[in-house]
Amino acid sequence: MLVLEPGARAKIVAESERAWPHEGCGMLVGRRRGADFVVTEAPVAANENTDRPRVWYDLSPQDQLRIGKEAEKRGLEVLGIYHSHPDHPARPSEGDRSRAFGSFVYVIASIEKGKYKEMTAWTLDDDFAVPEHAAKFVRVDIEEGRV
Amino acid sequence: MAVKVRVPAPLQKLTGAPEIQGTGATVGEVIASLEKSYPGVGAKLCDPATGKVRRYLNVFVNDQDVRFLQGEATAVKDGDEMSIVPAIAGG
Repeated sequence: MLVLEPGARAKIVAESERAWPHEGCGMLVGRRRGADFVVTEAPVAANENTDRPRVWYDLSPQDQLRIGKEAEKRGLEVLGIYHSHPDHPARPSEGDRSRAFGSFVYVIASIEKGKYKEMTAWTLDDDFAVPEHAAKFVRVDIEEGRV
Repeated sequence: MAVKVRVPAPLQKLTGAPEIQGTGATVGEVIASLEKSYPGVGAKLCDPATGKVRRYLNVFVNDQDVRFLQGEATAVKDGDEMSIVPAIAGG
């Protein structure tokens, strides 16, 4: 399960709507609680893709490094990634699956004509997977709640 | 040279910790040293055929992307911090 703090959820929605018609992205920061992901923050990262940002994102590695270090200083960790699907359902694409890393949780927010529609969460069925793997995404339930 | 290496969550199940120690005079040597201490990590980090860091990973030394330095040949010194950062992307 993914427990999503309301402030983090609002950040994902706001950044996804702001980025439309391009894909927006950011990191999911919080703590693991058993098998659950408890996300308390969703800092924005830059989508560095310039060829086709309506259908692809390349999350800035510099932003990722900075966000990871800031999280560690406060005893938190990077649990996963979020990105938006402009005018497309919140279902992982083949590109999402093949480029995913195991043990991260991936949130996808669907934005229709600039407005938030829905959000889903996914994780690979192989915690050790690195891209070019054959692992599959499995759905993760999202529970909104204060942590 | 003893270098602190920060590893991302997907590799922490192999290393057992988010920060580990490596040794070597270059980025490539430090990565090779990790395989000895943490079997299986080397193949996740480098393509065995070419010895190059896999294209879905970025390596930073003291917050500098080694692609803009000398890649695997980038020199490191005692106390440097090396970060393995996944190349996060999708559609």
